[in-house]
This record gives sequence, structure tokens and C-alpha cells, in this order.
Amino acid sequence: MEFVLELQNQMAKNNYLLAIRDNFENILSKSILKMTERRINAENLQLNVKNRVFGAIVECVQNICNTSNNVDGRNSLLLLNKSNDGFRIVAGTIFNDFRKSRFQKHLTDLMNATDSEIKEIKKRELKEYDPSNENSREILALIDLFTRSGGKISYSFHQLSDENTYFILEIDITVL
Amino acid sequence: MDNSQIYRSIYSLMDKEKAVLVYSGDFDQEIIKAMLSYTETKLISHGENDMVRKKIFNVMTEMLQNITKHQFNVENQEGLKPLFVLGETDSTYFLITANLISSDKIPGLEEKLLHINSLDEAGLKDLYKESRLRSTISEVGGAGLGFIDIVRKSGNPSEFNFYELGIENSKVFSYKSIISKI
Repeated sequence: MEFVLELQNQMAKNNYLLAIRDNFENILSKSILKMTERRINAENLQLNVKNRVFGAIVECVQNICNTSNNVDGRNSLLLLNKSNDGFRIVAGTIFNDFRKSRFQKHLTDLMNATDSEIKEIKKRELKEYDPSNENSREILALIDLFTRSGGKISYSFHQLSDENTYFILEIDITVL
Repeated sequence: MDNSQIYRSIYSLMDKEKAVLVYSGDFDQEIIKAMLSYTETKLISHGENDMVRKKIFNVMTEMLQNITKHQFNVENQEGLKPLFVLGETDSTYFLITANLISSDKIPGLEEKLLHINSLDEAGLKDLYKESRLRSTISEVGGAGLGFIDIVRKSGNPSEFNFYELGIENSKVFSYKSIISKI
């Protein structure tokens, strides 16, 4: 049982409040969000900060961690970390090559875009929005994460095999 | 260790030990309700047997209430919060709590837990009855029946440990309950 001590140390040392490793299937979203909402509410924060943190978690749970090709595994990770100037949300999941290139393109486009260009992309995506289209949902989720974090997003890919990569997305929500 | 290594280390640890949910922080009734709801939904969505679900629910409630009542805060150790872990292997579910405990409480608690683990079903039933009859409600609201209840409901002896962390007058008490799948 010593791993508990290691886990507790890792969580405490790095200020992690919550870690969930799961497949984030739709049915679990509500209770995961309830749990994170309660955890955020326990912090003495302004309402707008709470909303930004919670909104970012919703996007991560519903559009990053929840993957249709990941139903049987528990390969996704959600971490909530309290930093000195706010919160860090970390979402991790396994991507196949196709999803990896899609995300890479979306993230590069958004990171190189100005605020008004991001607004334009959002308008365009909303106009053509198709809820059954994963690509459409993902780009809107990323735009939302960019907006809520003020662009404070970073990501990395870690190759697991020829076909699969572990994707890690970090979103910082700072208290103004 | 950079951030990405920390994430991978937490993920690897959880993956290796089959942990699904890890919560670190203060516990109150609201967070307990949310965690129970998560676990319940998860078990239902996996089509888990009613009896196993009930066992997990009862044991988890007891364990989380134990933490709420007995969480012990040491000055200057704000980062070290109580921890709860829910995990699943092929044949079992397991629940673990870890929290700081004052060193002077360890001998009594250890004796009690060893005694509970040494009893069979009938012995546990007798101990439960006896404890209920002579129980008084403690200042934190417990009657001392929780650990007996956990072992009775889980159907398995508990595992526990007291870890030295170099914090004066306290140790980390970790407690694990295992519930077999049917």
C-alpha cells in the first residue's frame, strides 16, 4: 500500500486537488463535474474565476478526455492543480494519428491567431456547427479553453506506439 | 521533474495500482455526496451486481465519514491533505484512505484494528452488538462502530499501515478495504 504514500506526496508537493483516471464516458460526466464543482467551491474565489475554472473542466471532460475510441480503457486523466496565481487543469488522453494531426492543426492555428481572428474562427464554426461532427466540437472546445484561460495553454504529445500518442493539455486560469 | 513528468508519474502510479479516482483535500458532506454519486453512476454503468454496489456504497460512506470526523491537521503541513483512492482490479474493488493521525492514538487504534481483523463473521457480529450497547458518542460524532462495520460489510479483513513522515507527533494512517466482485 506504499504507493498511497507516494501518491499523497506527489499530490501534496505539487498542490494537486483531484486526479481522475478513467474513460470519461458520457454517463460519468455529470458526477465528475459535480465533484470538481464542489472542490472549486471550497476555494475562496471570485465567482468569475470559479466559472472560468469550471467551464474549462467541462470542456476537458466532454471533449478531450471523453474519447469515442477509448471506451474500454481508462486511459484519460484529469488533474486539478492549485497554483500560486490560480488553477491549472491538466487533461491527458490517448490519440490515434488522425486525432493527433487534427488537434495539432487546431492548436497551431489558435496559437498563431490574434483575438479577433479567434472570434472569426468561432463565428465560422458556430455557423457551420454540426454536433455529430467531432472536429467541429473539438475546435469549439479549444476556442473556449483559449478564451477562458486568456491563451494560457500548452500541450505536448508523447509517442506510445506507432499508432498511438499520449496527449497532454495544460490550461492555466489565473486569478486577476 | 518537469510538469509533464509529474503528470506521467501520477498517471503511471494510478495505472499500475489500478486506481481510478484519487481525491486529495479536505472532506465535507458535499464532496462525499459527489464522490458517492460518481461511484454509484460508474458501478451502474458497468452493470455491477446490486449486492456488490451496496457493499461498496456502505463501505465508502463509512470510510469517508471516518476521514471527515478524524481528519487531523498539523500546523505547517497544510499541503498534506487526507487522500481517498478508489480502484478496481479484475476481481475486486478497493477503497483506500490516508490521513494524518496523532501518534498517541496509534497503539489503541492498531490494537482495535488487529482485533477486528482476527474475528470471523459471528465474532464480528458479537463485537458489533457489544460495542453498540456500550457505545457513547464521541466528541467528533462517532460511536466507534465504523471499522467493525467496514469489515463486516466488505466481507474481507482490512489492510492498514502507519507511515512515518518525519512530522512530529503524527504519522500517516492508511486504511484499505477490499470488496470482492461476484
